[in-house]
Amino acid sequence: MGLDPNEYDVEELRSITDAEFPEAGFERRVKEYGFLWTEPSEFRAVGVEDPTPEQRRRLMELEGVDPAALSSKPYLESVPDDGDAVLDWLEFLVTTGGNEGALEALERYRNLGWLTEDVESDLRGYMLGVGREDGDGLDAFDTADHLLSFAYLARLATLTE
Amino acid sequence: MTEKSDTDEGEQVEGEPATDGGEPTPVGVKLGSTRTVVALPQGNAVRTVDTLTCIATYEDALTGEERVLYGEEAATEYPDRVQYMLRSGLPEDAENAALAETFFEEFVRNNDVPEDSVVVYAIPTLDNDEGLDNLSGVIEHSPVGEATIRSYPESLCGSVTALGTGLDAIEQIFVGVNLGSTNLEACAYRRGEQLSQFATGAVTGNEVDRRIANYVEDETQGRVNIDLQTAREYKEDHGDLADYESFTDIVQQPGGGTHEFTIEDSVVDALDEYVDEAVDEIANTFLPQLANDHIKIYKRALEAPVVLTGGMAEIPGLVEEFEERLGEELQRDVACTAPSKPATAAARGAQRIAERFVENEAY
Repeated sequence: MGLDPNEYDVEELRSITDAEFPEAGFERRVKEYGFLWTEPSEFRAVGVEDPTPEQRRRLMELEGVDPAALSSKPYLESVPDDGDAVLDWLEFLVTTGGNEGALEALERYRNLGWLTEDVESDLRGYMLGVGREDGDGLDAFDTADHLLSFAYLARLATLTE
Repeated sequence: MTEKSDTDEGEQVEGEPATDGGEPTPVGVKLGSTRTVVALPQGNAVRTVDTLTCIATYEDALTGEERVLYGEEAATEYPDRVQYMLRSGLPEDAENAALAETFFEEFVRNNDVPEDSVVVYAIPTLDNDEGLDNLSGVIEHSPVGEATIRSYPESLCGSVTALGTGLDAIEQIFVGVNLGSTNLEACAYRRGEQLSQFATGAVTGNEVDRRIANYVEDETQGRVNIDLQTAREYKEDHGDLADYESFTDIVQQPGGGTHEFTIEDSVVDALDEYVDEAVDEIANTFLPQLANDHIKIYKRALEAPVVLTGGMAEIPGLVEEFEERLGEELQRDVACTAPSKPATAAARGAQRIAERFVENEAY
């Protein structure tokens, strides 16, 4: 019997409350169709841009990342083995814009050349390991959120070297 | 035995613990380093029983058999050999685990805790695998919890009684801080899920006791030396950050006669330093860690009251002081709240969780 208080079953705990923890649209879609996106969204990137050189320099400095790690696009060509670091980023995206918003953001980042199509696909797989949350989609992200996302990505890029 | 007994949420009803139609009894337990608290239903109320987590053995003069005393009785009658087996929060070794097992068995038996029960334990989140294994042994061998056993962090269980009447805490995003005897524990909770947990053994209620003992010696120019038990009693009886008043006590002089002395600042100074240090740990270690890991949760959690639990939150005025100083440190408005009886809150919260397991027949 495991008694570690850090390893309790959250779902079991939620199940005994009176509350409803509504399934996110994302989860409903997975249940309904049995898969995630059938084809990439037609929606194109607007308002998501590469960081300015100054922003980029400061983010690299803040994260302690060697600028050489992001010398050319696509910055992230594979997903590092450190699952926690990946989930941290995805959790941030989900918390900001919900599961759908997170997927939209990843698509934008791919369009911007921050990551490859394969990486995007892998990250979608990782999304199954993140809690479900409704959100306001990509509209919920502001510039600071995208910059923070860039910092997360930079950290992952160094882990794949 | 000299446990303290209290009822919560309703009128006290004399009689046997409630067992509704053959259902197991929902029980909440906090095996604390200083006090152990058990919460169980009695009629429509919840009865809490608490005692010091200590044990002493002695030989029966007539039969030669080994006898066991625990709690206040052991501490008072056998101060020379009483053992606090959870001094660090968890049983450190096999010997302490065996003592804790004996203690807990005696305690639940003397308080008629039914064997057919769902028992939820509130456990400190210490990074100590061996201690946790030892505690698991104590719990597995205890006669209660036949139906099912669960454990949750102390700060979560304590917060359950502070936030609403049912299990509202499980539906919310908040920061819980447990101000315990042996550790300071903080964690952000997102609808029952633990995020960015933090614990330190550097800022504790026990350290306050040590300081009180030292400060009393300083304040009386070395005339009075008190032990830690007395220091703890001074803290519990006279500690007040809202309306502190000096107090007098009397000690027996070695050569005969008594010495009466007045304590002006020793207790309040130790408490004042404690609040400063606790705020510093939360504001400058835990919250930056939370912001770094989960920035949105950090923002959301600080919009809700920070829940303070644990024995130190019992000190009058401490919650208000903590709130004010945390706000100053973070340079923003922060609200703090505490359950009505912080020292027993974790056990009562655990009992509420156990009750839901029974109601939902999830055992």
